[in-house]
Amino acid sequence: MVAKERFFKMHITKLTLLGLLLFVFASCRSSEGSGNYSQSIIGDGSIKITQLEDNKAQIGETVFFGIDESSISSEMMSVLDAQISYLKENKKHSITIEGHTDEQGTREYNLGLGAKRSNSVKTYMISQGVNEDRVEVVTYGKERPEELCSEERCWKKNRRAVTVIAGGFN
Amino acid sequence: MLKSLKLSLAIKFCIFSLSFGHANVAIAQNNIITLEGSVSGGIFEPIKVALPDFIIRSGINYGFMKDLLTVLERDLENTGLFKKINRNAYLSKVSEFDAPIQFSDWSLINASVLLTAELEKTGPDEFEIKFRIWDVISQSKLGKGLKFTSKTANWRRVAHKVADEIYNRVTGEGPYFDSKIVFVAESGPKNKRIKRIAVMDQDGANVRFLTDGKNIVIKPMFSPSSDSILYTSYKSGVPRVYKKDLKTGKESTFKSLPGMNFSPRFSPDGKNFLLSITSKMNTDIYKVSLSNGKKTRLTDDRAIDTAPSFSPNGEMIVFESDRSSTQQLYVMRSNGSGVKRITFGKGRYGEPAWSPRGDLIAFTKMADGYFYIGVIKPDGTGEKILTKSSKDQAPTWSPNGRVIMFYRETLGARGAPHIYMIDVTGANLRKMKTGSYFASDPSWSSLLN
Repeated sequence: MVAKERFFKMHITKLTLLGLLLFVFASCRSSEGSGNYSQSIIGDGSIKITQLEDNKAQIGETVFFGIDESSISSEMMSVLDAQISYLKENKKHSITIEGHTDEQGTREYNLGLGAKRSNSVKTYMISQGVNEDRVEVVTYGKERPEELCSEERCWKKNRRAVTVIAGGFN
Repeated sequence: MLKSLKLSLAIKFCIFSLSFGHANVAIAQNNIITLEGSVSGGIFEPIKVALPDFIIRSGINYGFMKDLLTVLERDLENTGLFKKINRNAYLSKVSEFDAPIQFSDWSLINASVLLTAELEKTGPDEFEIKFRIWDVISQSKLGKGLKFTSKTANWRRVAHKVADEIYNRVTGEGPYFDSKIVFVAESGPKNKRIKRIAVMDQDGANVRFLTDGKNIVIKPMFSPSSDSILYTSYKSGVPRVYKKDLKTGKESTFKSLPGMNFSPRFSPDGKNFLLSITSKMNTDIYKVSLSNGKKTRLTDDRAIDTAPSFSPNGEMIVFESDRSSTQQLYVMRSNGSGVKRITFGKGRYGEPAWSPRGDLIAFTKMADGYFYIGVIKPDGTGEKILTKSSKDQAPTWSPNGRVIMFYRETLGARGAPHIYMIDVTGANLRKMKTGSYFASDPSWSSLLN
């Protein structure tokens, strides 16, 4: 369990929202069932329901890349090795590797570069014994930066590959 | 291209010296234009246009006339080539459409061009405009008078069409005001941008959203007939190319295309499109038939080959590739043969867009930490830089190949993109108004019918 906690970075806000929604549902159900409220108090009874995105769970740490690079440094290999051992212990999870770039290039080139980064990670994982069928890739190019400033200290954190459990925890 | 108009020497001289250099000769021959001869950023006098109120016939109200006039005026003034003369200076009114023109009244206030027009309601939802364009200096008509009849709701397009006639007859350049822009409207913080495909008129009016903002969308493009668009969306979770019919609103995807694909561009005949398909570490360019979805691979280098663009005759393709280790521009035949690198300057080159005139290729250049928009001839000579900023990207051409639109993004956590335009001469940089939205990835339509 401890290992699991360390490896999962939950998106707390999303979970909280989910919780709130469940709470709302719960209160609606109970009021309906008890019959204590007349129709007028409930209003017209229409509740707008919006489906939430799956809660993404990142496995392990983020893998970072050099400028315009998709090769994995030895330091980043040890980050990946930790992810790989987790995957070997938790065989029920399939993963998606997201490849991202910094904002310095053109949009479409960066989609290609993000694809190279995610595939570079996938290739390494397969070479270390992870079943290919468990690994999906997606490129986000420069569409979803993690850090917002326009300086190298942010850019180096945006040149990244993030491993997430496909479809969230459940 | 250059019509045989009875332009006065005064106007001709003014136009070509201010902006188009000695390009007019080459335009007439439909040949490669020479930019070296043009004055860019120099001091010039815009052509003075007199635009008196249109004569109003039954059923047309004053406000409608003024709205039409304002749209037309802005089109002309936005080019930087025309300046309207303030109406307080006018010595006479035009109150009879077919009466002789008192040229002295207009030459005294230094007008070079005069528009006379009459509006009339011709049905419950229909109106017509009759107009004549006059060369005040030579005291003659600039071409034949015309009458446009249209649904009232179409009044903006009618205004653009009249402005297009003035622009075309005075400059000899092809029209472009009656056209649309498809772009990505952006809102929200930089790391959670909400992106929606939107269309607007060339002057920024009539913004309409085509997608709902749920999914990331990238780089839309009009079909040559402007009745559909291609774009990339994350609807399925990964980037894939989609087509949207603008009449029915129907969205479709291409099931025959594998994995992640993006960067779609129509062929000039509208029958095919180019795109990039990613397979493992490699991204290559393919041609896909819109009728049967059949795909043909055009590049097979182990590099990122993307951002293709057809030449207007459909025979050539320009694209970017990092096969030489950095992003550079390459041209090839439309079947993928005869690949030739055309950029060798300092820095990286991407996002090429072939001009509808065929004479130039616009590009984004990255060097020394700056982004530039520039143009180069298809043979790789005559590179010319038009803009420079921390981030200028994604050039697209006006239908007449005289104006380049692109987006400029500011830096930092609150950095955001806006659409800009610049003449191919490097003159008249201006920012588009896109309401409360940020705007990126513009793509210009053809001239509407």
